[in-house]
Amino acid sequence: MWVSIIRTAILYMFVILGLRLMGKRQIGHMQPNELVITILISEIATMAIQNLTQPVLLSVLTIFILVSLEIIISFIAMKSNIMRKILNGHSAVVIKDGVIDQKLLKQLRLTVSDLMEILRQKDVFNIEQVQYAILETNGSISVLLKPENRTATVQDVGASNQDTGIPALVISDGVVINEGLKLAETDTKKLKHILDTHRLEYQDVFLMTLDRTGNHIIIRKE
Amino acid sequence: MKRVFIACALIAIVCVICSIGSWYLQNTYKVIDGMLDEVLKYYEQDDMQKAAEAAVDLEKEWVKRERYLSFFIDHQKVDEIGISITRLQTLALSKDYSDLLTECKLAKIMLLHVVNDEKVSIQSVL
Repeated sequence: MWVSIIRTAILYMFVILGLRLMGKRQIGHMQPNELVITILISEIATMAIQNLTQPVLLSVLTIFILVSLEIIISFIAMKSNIMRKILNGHSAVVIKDGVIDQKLLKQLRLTVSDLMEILRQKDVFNIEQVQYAILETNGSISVLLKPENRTATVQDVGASNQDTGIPALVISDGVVINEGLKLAETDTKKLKHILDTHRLEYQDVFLMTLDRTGNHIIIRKE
Repeated sequence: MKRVFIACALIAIVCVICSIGSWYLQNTYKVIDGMLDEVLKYYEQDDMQKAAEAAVDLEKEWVKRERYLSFFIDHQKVDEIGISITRLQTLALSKDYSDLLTECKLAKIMLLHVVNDEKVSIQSVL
């Protein structure tokens, strides 16, 4: 019983270490080879957890080999176009100027309803509004609308466009977050001044966000 | 680039561990197989007392080595060889000739199988 628990904990740590080494990727954004490696690693870990006669060291070494190969192959793919095409395939334009490439759709084994579903998830309900729809190598579809259907940007409407930076979390539950102060390009002196104007102390604040221009939101502790 | 270096280092570490494992297994095979041959030699000379003594030495040596073998060999296989080796002394003392011979040969074959499974060859890879 204890052996199982210890083996599971050991494997968990090594699987996490392996996945961290591979780098951050959301499941939905994985390339085919990354997905395969992830499935293989989980399968190896499961087998080692269930089969107590199998040495844990073998599973750990296998996981490391898979992760290492994945990193090296990704590096080669990054440097070589041919390798990238072999591993990940290439993106395909499925809609051009509002017209679906039916032949390509058949080749990709993608039905019109699948395509429509993906477009709807991107708030596109009319194919004619699409200038380009590109099926990416990770299976997602990127959509570029025709100019007349695109959302107007600040630049388009000529509004003032001051860069306020990101509203950073500077106080959380009464504690000053130094990383947030750096992001907001401010210091504790200025922060204290803002709090003084609200007649507040650090410990009175549940949450406070601040951006580079001094815009802030304060939520008091209840 | 840092990750690539880490990956290469990991592969190198894995290769070193595998090489050490293979070397240890080969070494164990040579020693244990030699000791099994010794038991068989005394069996053929009909000296069961010496066969039993050789079996005791063999068991001690096996116990010493099996804990390291379990790091990289299936525990069940290691246990099966261990059971065969443990039985040898009793069989020699009870002068059970046919069972002693069978158990000796069985231990030798099981050990050889383990070694062959770990050898890099088309059969073991495929």
